[in-house]
Amino acid sequence: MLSLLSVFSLPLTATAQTCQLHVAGVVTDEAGQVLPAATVRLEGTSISTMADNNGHYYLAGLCSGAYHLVVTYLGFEPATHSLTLAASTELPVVLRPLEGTLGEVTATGQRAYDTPLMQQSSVELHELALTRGQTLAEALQRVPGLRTIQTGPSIVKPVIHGMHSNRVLIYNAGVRQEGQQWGSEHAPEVDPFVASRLTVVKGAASVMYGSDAVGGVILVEPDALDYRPGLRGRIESVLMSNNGLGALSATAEGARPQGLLGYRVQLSTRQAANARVPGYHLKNTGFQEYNGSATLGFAKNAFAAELYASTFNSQLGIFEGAHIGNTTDLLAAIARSEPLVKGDFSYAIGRPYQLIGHHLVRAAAHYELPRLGKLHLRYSYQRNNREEYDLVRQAYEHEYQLRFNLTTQALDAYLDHRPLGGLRGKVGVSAQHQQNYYDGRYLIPFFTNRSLGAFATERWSRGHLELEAGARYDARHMQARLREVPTDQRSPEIRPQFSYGQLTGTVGAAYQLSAGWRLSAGAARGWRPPSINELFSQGVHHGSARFEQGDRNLREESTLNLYGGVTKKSERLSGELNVYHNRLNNYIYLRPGTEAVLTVRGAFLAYHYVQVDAALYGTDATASYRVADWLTATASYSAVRAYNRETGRHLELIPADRTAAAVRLTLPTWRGLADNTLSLRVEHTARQWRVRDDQDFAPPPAAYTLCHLDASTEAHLLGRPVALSLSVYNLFNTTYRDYLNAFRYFAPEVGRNVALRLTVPFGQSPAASSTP
Amino acid sequence: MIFAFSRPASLLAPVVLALGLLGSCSKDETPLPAVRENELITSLRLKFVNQASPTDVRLATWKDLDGQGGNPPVIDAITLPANAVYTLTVDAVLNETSTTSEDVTPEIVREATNHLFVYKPTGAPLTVVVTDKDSQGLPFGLQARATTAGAGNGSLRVILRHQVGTKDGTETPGSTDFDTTFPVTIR
Repeated sequence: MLSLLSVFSLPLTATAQTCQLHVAGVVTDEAGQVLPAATVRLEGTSISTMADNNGHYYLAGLCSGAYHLVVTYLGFEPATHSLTLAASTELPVVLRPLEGTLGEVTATGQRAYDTPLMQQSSVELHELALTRGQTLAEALQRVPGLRTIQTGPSIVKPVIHGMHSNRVLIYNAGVRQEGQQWGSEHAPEVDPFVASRLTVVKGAASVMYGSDAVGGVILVEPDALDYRPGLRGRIESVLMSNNGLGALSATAEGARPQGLLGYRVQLSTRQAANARVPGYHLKNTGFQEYNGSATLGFAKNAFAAELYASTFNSQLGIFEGAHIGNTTDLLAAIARSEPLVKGDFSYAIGRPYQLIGHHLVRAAAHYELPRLGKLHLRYSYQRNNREEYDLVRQAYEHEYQLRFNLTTQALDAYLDHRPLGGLRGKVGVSAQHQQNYYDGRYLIPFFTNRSLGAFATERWSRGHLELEAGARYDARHMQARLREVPTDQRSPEIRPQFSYGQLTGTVGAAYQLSAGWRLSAGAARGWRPPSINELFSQGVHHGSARFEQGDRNLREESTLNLYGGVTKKSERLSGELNVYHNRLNNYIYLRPGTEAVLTVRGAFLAYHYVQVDAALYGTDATASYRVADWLTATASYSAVRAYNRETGRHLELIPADRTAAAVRLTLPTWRGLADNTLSLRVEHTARQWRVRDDQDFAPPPAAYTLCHLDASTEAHLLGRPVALSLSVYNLFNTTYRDYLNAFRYFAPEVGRNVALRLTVPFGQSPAASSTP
Repeated sequence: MIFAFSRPASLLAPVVLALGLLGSCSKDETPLPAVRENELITSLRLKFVNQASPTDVRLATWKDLDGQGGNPPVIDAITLPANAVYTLTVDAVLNETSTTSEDVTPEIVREATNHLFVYKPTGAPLTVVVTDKDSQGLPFGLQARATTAGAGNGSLRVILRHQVGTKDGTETPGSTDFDTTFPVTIR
């Protein structure tokens, strides 16, 4: 299981709590002047913190072993201290100024300014270790306010505060992920094994991340390259009982002896058979995935450059019982309690299935400009290839019915400028070019997108107060190419053009009170242009028996996101209470029509993409209390409400309220097994009763309660720490359906799943293992 | 496969990008793909042959040439005399979206063990009984016997079920290939 305490820890400083030792000290310059907000991290781990306003840092929960402590602060040489930890240690750190910068540095915090001052949560490496083998969205599921929207057991997408798909941006290794993300059955093409940390920015963050950041942003962050010489790495393996999943990831990294060149290579695979719901298997729900990434870095003095490439290849079976021909078939499937066709335990994948490839190359460089700050340049090229193989009568083995091919290039440049009297920030520009082709069945047309954006965002801090403000302008020009009547070969080609643009802004404030309390509040705008399917859909959506009709006159959707919260972090009690309100204008959604479209397969209800004014608001609350050194109890609650502001009616596909409670036990070392934890989590999801009968083909499923169990330990094998964990999801094999699963009409959710995970480090870095 | 769409232009990435951003309309002349609806069926023709007088042949067509959406389908009415027995055949199942019309019927016959025609008369005094069987001895339904009683109006629904590996002689398994309704007049 995830390390619960850490899941609910404060966004900016998540530290491991698995062992008992600590390192603490004061960061000063050579004159003894304290340096507040210096970044202190343990190299090769995800453990880091920021020194407080008095220069104090404190890293707790460390296991004994050897570490490299790295302290960085803008304008100063980074300092590295090697230490072998056997007992808790005091370690003062003195930093030397970078040449030629003395006198220009102000005593202002300089943690890399890479996320806005908004509601956010991170899943750190030691928690991620307990989600290995799962999809990106599943790994994020225990972040407060995050849920998933699914199409059967294999296609899972993240939902932030009730929004998903084209309202959630994913940044994979610093690059804005561009696939066919508008489709709720198009899962993110991201390998979570790449990440050493996942950060979720909740709320409209268009100023820093551009268009489409309406609901929030997910940052998939690989570790920074490690320039220590030598070769090291880890092998992570996962086995799961429910669907016979086997996952393997191998990472190797190192650097040339001089330390100028660093590299990392990572390969992973996931293979799964048919998923099992209580009583039977779901036919054709297996998947296969082959991924890899490579990084090459060069760093010298003020200059650093990095080349990164990754490939993601997946074949995803789609539950055969969800293949329907028309509305009658759908209603008949809903009326059945079990699908007519059941599967057995098999790794075979037949039609219908998806074949997805996503390939990325990124070149990035940054240069420390004297007096100005750090200039970043980034170019990326991505190619997304999606092929869909339907269950059709004339199914030739390798013939797809539909293929999309989307190529995206982006160029970003920004300056992380030097602090100016307590003010630090970023100014930058970004440009993107995108080209889409398709082949086979018409769903969306060819299109070319050109986008440009410019932004500036600044943060000012003094004493306990932090203020932030930013602004951005984005413009997009799109040209589509299609036949006037897309299904008629003889129809003439047309090239409609569209221009969209929006000015966005953000303001935020945070105030640090005594005893670990922190208040924050702000307002932010987000926007997105209508997505291609919203403009051009025209046809029956497979699996949902609806005729979807796009509208070429749709305008930009925008949101004003107001948020506020209080967080608390102390020795015993930690937690947060956040509220948010999104006022959405021109919210685009698929409204069920009243007329039927008569086709040769029968009549389908016509759904139209329309724009309304809407409001989405809600709360996330978590509290974690350390009852004793060995026992922590946690409770959390999240709720979101969504209304059409014009009619006052509830919107469709909004997650139901969820309440969870967990206890986590830290057990003493036993027979060489250290770092032993056991946790039990109970999770109750209410029924989404706000949906009216005319909003769905079937009433929303009943409420359900699930129990999950996690146990983890660390053994020493040949002098290396080997992490071993056992997780049981859906402990009591409960049969339930979830409202946000598109296949709720056809089958229940998966039953009990036991996962066994083993992580073995290798090479010259005993401290660099991932500690669960 | 993955790079099948690869065009030299995309390799000149930065150039294209720079040009593109300057607003110049780089002409993309990749031809639009041919319209390809999956096994689309646009037309269906029923043939009624009077068993008492074989020269009495009646045809009824259900036709939607522009596929889903667009113009509504054109549907012929079926008119039959009262108290008669007809041999009913699904005469043609066509895909007429392309310039040459394609008859899907032979393919359905070839895969008879995966298909079932279902007839559902409502309102009119008409009964339809499937008379043919596939190689497994299960009803197929390309041929049927239509018997009329007194005069009346109603409709006849003709459904083709696609039942790969699941055919059991009933309508329940599988998915729907077509589901068409003809108005029926018996006088």
